[in-house]
Amino acid sequence: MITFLCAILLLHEEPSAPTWIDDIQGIFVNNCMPCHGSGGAGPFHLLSYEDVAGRSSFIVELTSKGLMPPWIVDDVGFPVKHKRAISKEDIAIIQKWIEADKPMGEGAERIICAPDPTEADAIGHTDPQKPWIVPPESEPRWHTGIRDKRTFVLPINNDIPIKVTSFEFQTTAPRAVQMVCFVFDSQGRGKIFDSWDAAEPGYEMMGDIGWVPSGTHGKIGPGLGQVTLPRGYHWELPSGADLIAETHFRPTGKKESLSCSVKIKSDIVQDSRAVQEIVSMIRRITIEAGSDKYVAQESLAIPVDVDVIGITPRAGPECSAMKILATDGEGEQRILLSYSDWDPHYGETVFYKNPFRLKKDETIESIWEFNNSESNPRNPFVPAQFIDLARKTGVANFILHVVAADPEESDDLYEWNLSMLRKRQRANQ
Amino acid sequence: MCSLVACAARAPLESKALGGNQGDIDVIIFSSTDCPIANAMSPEIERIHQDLKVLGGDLTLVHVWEGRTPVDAQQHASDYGLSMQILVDSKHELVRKFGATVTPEAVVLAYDSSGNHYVVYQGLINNFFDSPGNRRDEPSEHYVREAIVAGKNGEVVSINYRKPIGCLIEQMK
Repeated sequence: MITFLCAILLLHEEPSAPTWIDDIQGIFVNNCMPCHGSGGAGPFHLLSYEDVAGRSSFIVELTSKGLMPPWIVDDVGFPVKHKRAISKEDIAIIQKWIEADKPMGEGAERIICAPDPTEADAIGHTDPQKPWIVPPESEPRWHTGIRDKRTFVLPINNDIPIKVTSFEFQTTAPRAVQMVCFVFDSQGRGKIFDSWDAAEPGYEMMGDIGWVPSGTHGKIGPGLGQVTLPRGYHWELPSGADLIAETHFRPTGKKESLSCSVKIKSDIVQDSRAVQEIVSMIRRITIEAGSDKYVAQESLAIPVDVDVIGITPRAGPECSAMKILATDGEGEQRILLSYSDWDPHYGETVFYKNPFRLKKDETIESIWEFNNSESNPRNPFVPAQFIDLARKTGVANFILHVVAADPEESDDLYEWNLSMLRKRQRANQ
Repeated sequence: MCSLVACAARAPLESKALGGNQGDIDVIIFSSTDCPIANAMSPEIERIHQDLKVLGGDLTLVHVWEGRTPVDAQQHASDYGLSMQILVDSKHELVRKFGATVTPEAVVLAYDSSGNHYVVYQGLINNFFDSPGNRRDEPSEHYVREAIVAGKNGEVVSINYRKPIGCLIEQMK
């Protein structure tokens, strides 16, 4: 009888409300600290009880709508690394905490430590005495359509080639910098562009160097300062190279002073594989004003068996959706990457949890949808105007980061890339 | 009680008890020192203030975030080049009076022949932001500016409330 009564009492015991100490702080440390910690890109901290309690309703609204943390990759295709999203369960816990009047709980708040500084194998930086001043408001600078972009050259001054496994990019204005596309430049092309406007750091063109598109060596999004290749892979960096950083900034309402630096890491394992790129792109779009669905696509046959470790998406704000598919010889289709609501400010490089193989002659098909109407809130042309955009490295791309499955076919892949480059050059004439 | 931080030529809004003469136009903008949406609109808010001054009106920026001090608000005004009068609504008196929900949120006020205020327009300043995190390069529709002109002319605006987009104000109990 006594046992029965105890069981009833246990069944009716109210679950205790979540507390900041036991339940909530951990959610914010795990999901929000990179941006909303000290020196992060977020506009405010989300570290202490006061930080979070004072805006908890807003936090629930943004996380419930999927606006924070920013992550626009569709939940289809191959599993990706570093997905940024708070689980529905965690959002529900935060909601319960608010309903319970945000109890602090007992014990001490967790002490948040800054990560240890990265040891670098090489470094580069812009001149800290000569920062670029980000204007308070968006303003057209190069020509219509090119806004809020500035490309910087960071000399690495490496005497010997480096096998790059990761690099950490930092700016003095993290809240103003939304996205950065990278490409290593071993031919000094970026320095030539930079010299055209010697009075100010950087230059007003995109970060492409010749036919090599910016983003070839990755893109970072808000709050992410690091590009890290999966273990066992590296990029070959020739001696005397520069890092070209095409920086997309978001004016914050006040002037911001922007300098950049990069720390390069070479953490090589035995038999590390050099990553190459397969670039799928369209070079030009012409879209009537008001057209809310213009579709462009490109198909490519894969030249040798490759393992795909990641993909960098690239398209402007006129693009509303994009995806890349692979179709094998038997007609079976796989989605490699998809964005049903593309936003260029959040289009960072996606690395996969596990590389996947594309077989020789398998077809990859890239599809970009453009919305040149005023229903596209990101359309820079308001009221909508006729669009005629061209870029020799592509106005829209998917850059596949790959290695040849058979190392002996690496040279074939390199030669195929060169032939594609020449083919596209001829098409440009 | 709202704390006055910086005083423009005219008396602070609270001491006027929201009173004015027929034909006067005042604007209140609820804001926060660290709301990125409100901050991104600072240059336009300052321009509206300057243009309103020419018409004899006041724009008052009201900081609503709990814990903000007049010193914080003064530093913010200096950082963002804001020269209007600024209030720190530490007890949310104005938030409750106008039912403000987010920052930035604008209220355009006019006055009847008895000097009593009425709301000409409330909500979005313009269409710069489509949603939090999703903004245009520049706004193409200017709701507060239209309301100022309408109010000055004794006219009404066709839409007198547009749901504001910004940082949700944590309501005090």
